[in-house]
Amino acid sequence: MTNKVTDYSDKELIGLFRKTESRDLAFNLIVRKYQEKLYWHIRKLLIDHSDTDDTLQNTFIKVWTGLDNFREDSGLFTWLYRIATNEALSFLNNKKRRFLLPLVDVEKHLSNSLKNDEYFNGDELQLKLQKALLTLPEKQRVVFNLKYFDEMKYEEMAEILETSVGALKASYHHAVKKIEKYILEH
Amino acid sequence: MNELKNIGPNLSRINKENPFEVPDKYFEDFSTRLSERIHAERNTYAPKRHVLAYRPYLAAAFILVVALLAGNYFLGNHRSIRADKSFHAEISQVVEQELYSISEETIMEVMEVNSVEKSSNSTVSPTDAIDYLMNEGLTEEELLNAL
Repeated sequence: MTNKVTDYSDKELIGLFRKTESRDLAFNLIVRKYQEKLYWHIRKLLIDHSDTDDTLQNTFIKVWTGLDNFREDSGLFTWLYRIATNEALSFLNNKKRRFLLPLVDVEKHLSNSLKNDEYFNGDELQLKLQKALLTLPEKQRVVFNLKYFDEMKYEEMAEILETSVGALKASYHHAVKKIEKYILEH
Repeated sequence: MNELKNIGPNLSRINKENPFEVPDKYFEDFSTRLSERIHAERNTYAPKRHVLAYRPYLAAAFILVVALLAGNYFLGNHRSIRADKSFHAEISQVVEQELYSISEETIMEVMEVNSVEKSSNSTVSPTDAIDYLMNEGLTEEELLNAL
């Protein structure tokens, strides 16, 4: 009977990765174990599927090149989320620079493209929520997504985002207030 | 959840289900596409990394040569012309030995990498050019018109 991806602990996967003979296999298992979680995390920030696909690939390439030096101060999951978040935020910043648009316009463009996106299947309220989210500062959006959609604990978020729990709670509170206001006004 | 109901009653009524979708078989094919990309990048960068591995040795050889030349210059003030000549010969021999210990192929590879790095460093990316023009006071509108 063969092992499923989830049968391997993160520690076992890192151990396998560090052996030359099982390196490729271990990497493949890591990708298959985390690809969906990371994809959805990035997708909620970038909205567009193909941008998300590029960023997810870049994330795993960074993992491939950096896993040897991963010191295991934090969990693999936390480390992967941190890389994915940084990659997604860098992607957004590069996009803003590339299109010569001031900060708010990329979000406006994404907001407008949501309705015609063939890979968006939400109802009117979900669409409104996504549009409201696009009005938030990027890091506040990350905090909101992790808490609201992924139901992540503040302590875990604090490790990923390297911020204090208090600051995260305040950020989430402000995000909810702003979204609530947006929903009422639109 | 109660906290959310208090601070965001309208938000708490929205369906939390994921509204996004992916193309068919996206996750099934992802690891294959990723492996192909890693394989391609590995082939592209492998020779460069190989050459870069020689850099510390080349740097050490260079420092040794400079140190010997500096020593020669310093001692040259205190030695006779004859001793100076024999010291010169000694240095030349050491330098020659150092250079012979590095293969010609390695030297050529390093020169190639350096020239590639120099040319890539000197290339101005479109983003840099845009940043520069905006710093010079051009507005986004003027830039868009110029494109």
